[in-house]
Amino acid sequence: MQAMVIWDQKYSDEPSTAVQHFVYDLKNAVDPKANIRGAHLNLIRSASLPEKELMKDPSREIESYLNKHQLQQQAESSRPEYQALQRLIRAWQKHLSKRENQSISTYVISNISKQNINQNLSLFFVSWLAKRDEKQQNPQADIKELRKIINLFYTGCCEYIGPVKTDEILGKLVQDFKEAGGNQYRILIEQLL
Amino acid sequence: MPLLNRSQISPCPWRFKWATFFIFSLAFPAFAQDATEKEESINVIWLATASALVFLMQAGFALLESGMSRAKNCVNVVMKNYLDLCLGSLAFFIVGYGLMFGNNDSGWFGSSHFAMYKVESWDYSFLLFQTMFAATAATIASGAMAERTLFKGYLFGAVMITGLIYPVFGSWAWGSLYQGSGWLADIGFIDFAGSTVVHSLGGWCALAAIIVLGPRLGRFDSKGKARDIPGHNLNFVALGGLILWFGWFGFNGGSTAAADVSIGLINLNTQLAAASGAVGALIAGKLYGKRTLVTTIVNGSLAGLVGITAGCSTMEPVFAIVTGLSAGLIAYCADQLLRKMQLDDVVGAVSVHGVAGAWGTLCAGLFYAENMFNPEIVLVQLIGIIACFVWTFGLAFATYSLIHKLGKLRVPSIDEQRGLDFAEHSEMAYPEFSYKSAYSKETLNVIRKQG
Repeated sequence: MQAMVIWDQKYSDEPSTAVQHFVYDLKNAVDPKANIRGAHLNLIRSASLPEKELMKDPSREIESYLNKHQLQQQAESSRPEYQALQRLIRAWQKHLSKRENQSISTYVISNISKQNINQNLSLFFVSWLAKRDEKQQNPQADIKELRKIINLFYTGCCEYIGPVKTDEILGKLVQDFKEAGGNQYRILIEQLL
Repeated sequence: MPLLNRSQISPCPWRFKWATFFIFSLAFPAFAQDATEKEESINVIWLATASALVFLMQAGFALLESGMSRAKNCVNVVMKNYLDLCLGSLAFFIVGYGLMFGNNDSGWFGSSHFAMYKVESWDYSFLLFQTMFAATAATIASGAMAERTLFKGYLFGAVMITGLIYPVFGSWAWGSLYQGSGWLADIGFIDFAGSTVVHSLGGWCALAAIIVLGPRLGRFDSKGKARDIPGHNLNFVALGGLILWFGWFGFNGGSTAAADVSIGLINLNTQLAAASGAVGALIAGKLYGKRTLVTTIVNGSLAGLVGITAGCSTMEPVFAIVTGLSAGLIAYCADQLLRKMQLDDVVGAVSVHGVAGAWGTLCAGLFYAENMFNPEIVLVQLIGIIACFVWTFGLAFATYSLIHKLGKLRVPSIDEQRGLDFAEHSEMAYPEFSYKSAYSKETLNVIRKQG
């Protein structure tokens, strides 16, 4: 109860954080009309339940969900593109300060739902960006959708660090990838741009 | 009831010439006929030459605007300049000239001389000269809209400017130069070569366009402060500015529409105003505590040129300096104001053409040599300036808004990322220097194949 009170009084009206964005996206995905404050309270309440009342390990349910929606099989075919995308963005982030990274990630998370890309990809990418979890399964996506994600990241960079520096970083990254990543990455990067 | 008698304010060196010619022709009729033909030939030659000089301004605009754009967009800027000239020339020939200079009973627009044929040599020369003016009005907006405008949307806007917006306003001010008439000319509006008719009109179209378009990606930071996005070639900017300056001698000098001795004063005023405009911008930059940039100086001289265009034939050289200097200062301040308003004008077209043009038109009234600081003349000038803004901005805003609603004005953000040279034309301006860019010719070929 104390955790809920602290959240409600101290954090619920603060500027966006990763958790808030996660909840926001979840709300959009599950029930767009849901009360965002109520969702936050539910989250905090769940997090502060006694251990014995917590849900059992959900790994099996997740696996059956993935199988049911054929996410795992589809992910295999697009894995190299995902890897290239993730490597590119991670390398990109290394050129940015911590504050710029936070701002741009927040921008991407806030705007990804407007990109007209499939929802699974959107959720996957938001989750990856927030957690940096490489072991997530890749949902199905064509190269054009991945391009939209890179473009969203580019747009965010333009907004927060300016277009000149953004072009400079992107140019350098692509050259580095082409030089160091071998022919496979060169082709993938060319497709992703 | 006209506020002013047009004959009182029109620079009419022809009056002198015709009187002399009339007396001479009474004494020597055969010689007079020969002299008339020679004079007409000389007029035609001068008008055609001046047209070529005004045409050269297109090259100046292309260099200036592409130089101020990033390398990934510079071909697109040149292509827009090139094709608005082509389409604009055709639109003006087919529709615009008739609306502007055709027989005009209502005083609002002409209704004859569309796609003109079987007329005298001078008429063709006049049409050619006016076509260059129409193309100039259209091309002004291209620089302001650079780096984020769809090619087809831009071209549709350019055709609207040359086919409708420019000729209708032009008929109000200049229709009587040919077979038309216009209410602004009737009340004594002074705009010798088009500070308002050509330049402000182009500037207000640019203003409407950039409001509808919105700024380039990342042009303003989260606090609304403008970020500099430097152009890729400042030498182009300077060279473009000088070519424009050169062409302006035809723009203003040719507006006599005849080989006339007044061209000396007109072009001297043009020169002095351009020089003082650059000085004005230099002073303004210092007052703002900024460094002296190439773009500032070039735009300052252009503001001086735009400013003097209305009154170059009707003011003494010293006032041309005042006009140019103040135009340079005002254009600089206007550019700063636009930045504060978060309006992204890539080349400063609104401040240089729109604002300096309006100011120059006012100066043409204030410093009118035969009747300086006459409030009646100034009032007429203000009416003309406001009429131009209301007509041009209103119609241009509606046009660009419609194009935007149809999704044909702003490029998608991925095209801004790739650059419009590739996105719109599948070309690169400098393929051999692409090692610093994310996009090489090979990358672009891969993307093109994928669609």
